[in-house]
Amino acid sequence: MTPATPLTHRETWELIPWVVNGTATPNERQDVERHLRDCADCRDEYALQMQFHAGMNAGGDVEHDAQPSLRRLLARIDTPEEQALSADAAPPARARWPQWLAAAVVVQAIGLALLGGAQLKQAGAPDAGYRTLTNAPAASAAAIRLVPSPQLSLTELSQLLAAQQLRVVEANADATILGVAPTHEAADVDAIVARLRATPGVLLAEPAAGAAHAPR
Amino acid sequence: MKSTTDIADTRTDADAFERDALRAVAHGDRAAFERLYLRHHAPLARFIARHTARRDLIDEVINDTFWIVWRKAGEFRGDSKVGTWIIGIAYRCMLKSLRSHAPVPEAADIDTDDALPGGAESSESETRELADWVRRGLALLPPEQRTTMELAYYLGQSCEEIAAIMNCATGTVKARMFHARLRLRNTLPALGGDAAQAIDTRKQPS
Ligand SMILES: [Zn+2]
Repeated sequence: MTPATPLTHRETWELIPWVVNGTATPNERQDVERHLRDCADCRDEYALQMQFHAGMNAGGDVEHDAQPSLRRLLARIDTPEEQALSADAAPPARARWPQWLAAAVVVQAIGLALLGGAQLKQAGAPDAGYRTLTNAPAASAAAIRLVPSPQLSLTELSQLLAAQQLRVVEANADATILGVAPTHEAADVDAIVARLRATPGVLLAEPAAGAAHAPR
Repeated sequence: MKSTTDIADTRTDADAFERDALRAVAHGDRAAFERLYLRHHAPLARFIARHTARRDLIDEVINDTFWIVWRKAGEFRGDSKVGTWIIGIAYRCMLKSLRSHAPVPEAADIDTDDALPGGAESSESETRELADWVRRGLALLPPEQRTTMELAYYLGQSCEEIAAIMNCATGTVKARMFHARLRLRNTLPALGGDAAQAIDTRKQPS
């Protein structure tokens, strides 16, 4: 194999995780190592990923005896097919998303009811909030993308939003990702994001600018 | 630290062992089936435990997975490692199970934050701190990015293997990994702790 042209910064960056987890090819590994010799930035990234890899494999042991569940599985295997089928029939899928969509709409309703006229003007039309929840919004007024924990109750979510003076302006189709906006214009979005990230029950908070719309 | 060839050999040996076991399972060999089950139970349990704290669900997902392994062993065509094939089945079983059950708190929310005494146990507590730091970081990622990182770093799957497991293009795996790392760089220092401070001074990638 002829020596490859030196890797770029970006190529190295993309290969680092696979060198770290031992699945890169020997050639890829060599190329990355050559780049790392001369590039402090990529060495930093390599060290960080090594640390991350170590952290994922350290601690958090699940002490979990496999034998009882293996015995249950073997019993299931020994059960005649028809019986197994009825015993295993999954309970009707209890989707949580419609419930979430409902929750988001209710939060929106609470928000609109509490906040009154000023915010309605800002949203452009009295029913703008409702429309963006059910139809794809043409232009998003969301300042922050927020993914609340699914465990959060509706009450907790509305309290959380009220505490940060936020309202829901949009949601993705299954309402797992909310677009929220401050209820007053001079709000410091970065500061709100920082506070949200420190709030239990918030899985993700980030400025919406540049983030475009919720994936999927 | 192991050399690349050692790791590659270990992976190949493990796969050869598992291919033999799976062939035996296809012929109804219970002992081989139990060996495969016991080899995969602990890593799968830990992987699934990152998504649900319910022991019964973890066991259910693993048993659903191996129920399929038992029935479909003869259909394995060998176009991936046996381990990757099993993880792919487990991933689909897990998604199905999590969708059909009410969400429950993650293990991370339950078993963390019981601070260890310092001093003599500082090494152990540093390890725990590192693990906790990582767990908090992962919790901030969107599900696909988080799972990509877990499959890569926890279950040691390659980019191509993750693409097969998650049924997406390798480009998608690379992009998810890329964005996950960017986001972790941006969010982890804010989580506090020594581990976070250690990387606080690092530069953003240009
Ligand atoms: Zn570089």
